[in-house]
Amino acid sequence: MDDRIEIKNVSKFYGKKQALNDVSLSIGKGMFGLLGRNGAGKTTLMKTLAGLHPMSGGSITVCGVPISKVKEIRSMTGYLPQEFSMYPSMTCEECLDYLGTLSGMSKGLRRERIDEMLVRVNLDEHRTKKVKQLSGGMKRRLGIAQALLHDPKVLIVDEPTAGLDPEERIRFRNLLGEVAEDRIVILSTHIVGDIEAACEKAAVMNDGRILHNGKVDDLLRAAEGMVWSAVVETRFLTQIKLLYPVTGMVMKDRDTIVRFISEGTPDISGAEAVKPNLEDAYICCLYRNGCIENGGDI
Amino acid sequence: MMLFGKECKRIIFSKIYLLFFAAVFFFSFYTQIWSDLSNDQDSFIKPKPGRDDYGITLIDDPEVLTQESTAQLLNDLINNEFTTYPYGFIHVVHLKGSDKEKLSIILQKLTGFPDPENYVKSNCKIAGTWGDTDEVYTDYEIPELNITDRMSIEDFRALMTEADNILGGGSSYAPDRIDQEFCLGPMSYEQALERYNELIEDDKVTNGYARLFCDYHGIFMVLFPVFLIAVYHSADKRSKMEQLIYTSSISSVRLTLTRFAALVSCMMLPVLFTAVLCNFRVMQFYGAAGLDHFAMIKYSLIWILPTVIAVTGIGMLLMNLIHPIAVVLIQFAAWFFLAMMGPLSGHFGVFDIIIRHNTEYGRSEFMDSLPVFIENRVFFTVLGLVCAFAASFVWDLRRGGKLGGNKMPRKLFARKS
Repeated sequence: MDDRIEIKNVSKFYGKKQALNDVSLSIGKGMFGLLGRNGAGKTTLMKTLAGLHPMSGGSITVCGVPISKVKEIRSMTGYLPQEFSMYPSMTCEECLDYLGTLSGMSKGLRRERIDEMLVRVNLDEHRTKKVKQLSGGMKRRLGIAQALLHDPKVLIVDEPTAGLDPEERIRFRNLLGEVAEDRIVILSTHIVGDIEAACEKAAVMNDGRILHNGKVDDLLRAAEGMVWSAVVETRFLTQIKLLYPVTGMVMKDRDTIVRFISEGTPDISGAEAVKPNLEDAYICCLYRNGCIENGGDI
Repeated sequence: MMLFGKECKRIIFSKIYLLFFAAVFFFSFYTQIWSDLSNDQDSFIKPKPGRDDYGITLIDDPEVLTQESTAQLLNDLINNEFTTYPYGFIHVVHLKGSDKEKLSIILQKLTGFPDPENYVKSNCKIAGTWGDTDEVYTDYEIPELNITDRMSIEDFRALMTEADNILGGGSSYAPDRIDQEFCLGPMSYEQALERYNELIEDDKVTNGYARLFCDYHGIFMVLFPVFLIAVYHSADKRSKMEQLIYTSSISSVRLTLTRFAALVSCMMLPVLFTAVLCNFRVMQFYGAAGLDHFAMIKYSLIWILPTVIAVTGIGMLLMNLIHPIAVVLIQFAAWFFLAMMGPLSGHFGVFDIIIRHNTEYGRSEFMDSLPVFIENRVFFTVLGLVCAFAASFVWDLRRGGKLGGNKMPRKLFARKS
């Protein structure tokens, strides 16, 4: 059986507003990142893949199954929405048991998988804790446990690390990395660090369009020679911001080390080309595609 | 079955269900367990011949009906004060201008007096004092009017209906109330004995009380469930669990119907519980022997269950279409209006969700209406099930993103982009 998600020319309208514009992607096993600003269309694409939104045009197949066969799609997909919780008075165990029942799992299988999942997401000690007593990070982990409970071939996670503290974010990313070994995991985020740390392949979205689709390394490579660093007097910062998209600034007394994007050699004395990080590469991608203008705010 | 159990558990262990249970129990206790049985001691005593008073009963006597109701209408006109219950609530009407004239014309036709108001004021006035006090009151003693000599009973009823319409409806002269208000007479020993035997032998006591039990519970179970349905229905959204449930592989029909069945079952629990309590209460007064101990349960299932099915089905459908708070307001107002509108006993049609029978007696009257009763209960059962299926269809649309929260009309009629 085909182990890929094929998205071809998908479009989606909300009234007159176009949320997805001719989106085409081919996603295989492993962790795939979807990077973009808030409102770029990531959640719409995630929801469309999870069968929560109808498309206005195009086609999607998940492991060879057309998206119109929602029952089959739901049984092979695990979904963790951006904002979610569970019945507050239920315990972790009860919540998973309830959702497992909704997924048609037998009692024996549920018991076995719940034990396995709670250990995997490190909530085994908290299995009898009520949902309302869980921290944000614990809730996210419980969310992953419910999404994986029926052992789906595809896991869709939408902005899972937003609002988590750094430690919890790392733990969560590692967990996703582990589960991505034997399935397709799509991670949607606006946090570049998540993609950098966890994904080999990623797509960049903006205004419902795909700007880049491929390896993260390719995105970095494409930004080589476009990222510059210079030490300037702080009073010139406003002018620099008007001329170039600035990706970083470190203040030092009267001077500032400024990091910025320029397609050619910049007109700033002492500017040197530097090795781009993924954040720079992402901004370069937006810049190349006309999503950021010179002098415009990032 | 496993999911059904889990849904029942979710309902039963919710705060709103405890309130619901307590409300049903409280009203049941107040209206029946404590009130009716303990206040109606005559029910338990076999009538003996030779007594002066066996109570009053509805009689079939056109003379009494025409005389009593016309006399009351005359009195009301002289005082220009008419008590009506148009929407279940008391409303005192004071007539002016043409309406008062129209009513005078009706009374002219009924009494044969050219100016009935002035005739009564001039010729029928009586005065007296209140009890041992010196406070004087005046009243009017209406003479024998012999209305049936001048018109048929049908014409009389038509005139009284016209009078009720002038008063805005809901008066004592309304077709469904006039007999119960004015056509009452003393019960004979034979009638009292027949009534007693009907309750003891035919109804085995509990069947009679079961109808009274269902009369009250029919109202409770129309009014209260909407609150429970609203809280239960909105739990997924409130708990931000909606999308997790949407993306599970269970079919929309199965989930909706399981939740429907769980709601109906849980709502019937306090009914069945109080039914058992009422049975024990009846046993306290009549003894266990000769009673039909399953009557309360039987009537609850035949009479109340269809009401619960209908109210739940309609509620679930509406809550999938519009905001639950709007549904609570609409449904509660509508059901309350229906509950307050009808007479206390009899006169129900196929489409009346609330069936009133506010007495432990009247077996024969109830049995006469049995075919309509069965049609009525079947209709509401089917209606509830159809609504539940429709609710699953609407939920499926919402689940697939084809129907948004409260934007149904816009979504339904929007062109596909």
